Amino acid sequence: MHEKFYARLLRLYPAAWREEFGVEMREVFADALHAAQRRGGFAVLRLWWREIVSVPTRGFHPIVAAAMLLIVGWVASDLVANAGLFHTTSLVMLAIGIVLSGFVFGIGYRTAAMTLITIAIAASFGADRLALRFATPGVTSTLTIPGVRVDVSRVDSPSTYQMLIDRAKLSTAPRVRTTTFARDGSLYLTVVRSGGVDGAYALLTMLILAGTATAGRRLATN
Amino acid sequence: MSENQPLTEATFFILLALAEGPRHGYAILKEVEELSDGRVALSTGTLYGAIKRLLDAGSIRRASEDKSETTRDRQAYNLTAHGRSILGAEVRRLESLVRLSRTRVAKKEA
Repeated sequence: MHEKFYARLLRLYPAAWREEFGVEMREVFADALHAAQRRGGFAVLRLWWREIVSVPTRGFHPIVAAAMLLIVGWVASDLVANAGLFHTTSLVMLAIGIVLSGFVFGIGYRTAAMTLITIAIAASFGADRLALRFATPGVTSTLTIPGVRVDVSRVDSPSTYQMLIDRAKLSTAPRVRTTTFARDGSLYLTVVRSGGVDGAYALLTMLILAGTATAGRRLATN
Repeated sequence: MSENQPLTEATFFILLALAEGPRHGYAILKEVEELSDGRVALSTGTLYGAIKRLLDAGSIRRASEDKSETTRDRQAYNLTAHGRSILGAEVRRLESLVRLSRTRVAKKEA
């Protein structure tokens, strides 16, 4: 299934490119996929993420298509695990919201589209779980998408915490937000740096997501 | 692509991966990840985008163009003399940056 979808993704590349590298790219993807499958589901997700965001875009449509496919996959797997009217309606409304906001804010703004996909992935995993997967104890781990950078660090002592906060204050990004969360008895600090315009689009996207999710919940409970 | 131009990290690691001999696409992908300690993970699109630019610039060539240099059945690539000199220039540029930084930091600490 993965390889079939990858072949479809390749159609988004120019014809001359496919002619020259198409066969090789499919072989390389197949090898990378097998290696990722041995490492687990999250490695496969990361592989797909890399592939989708690096598709050369001619307009916005490839990213919308990729976002929709991701969402459909997520909705389908979640529905299998949690059947029921409440869950179904919420998820379908959320998916519609993501796609709509992609169309409204994404046209001409590839960054906003990537932010959207990240949110879709984060929503399906739970933001703190996602962050934790990137965090290596004692080391700052970084998740970067254009316009937004997330650093996750395990806080071992008050002095480490202060040092990380001081470093965040030195950032040149227009918006810096720090949050902490605890898991498995450890404290983690998340520093999110975002650019002005990109941050605004991310915020608008999140508002739309929250709105559609709330509407979905209301529909399900009425 | 000239010798005076700094290379992108992906391009630098791809050239470095090819410095020891011909490699096919997936071998380059793996080696870049290993050389960068897992920090640089290339997608197939990024890898072949860089390969295309390097082929166009004459920094690498398809190994099958030279009948003696094929690895397995897959298309392999290797460095040209131009590519090797670009890589050497980048290494010298990085060395000079490190030297300068060490001098500055040492002065500040003294």
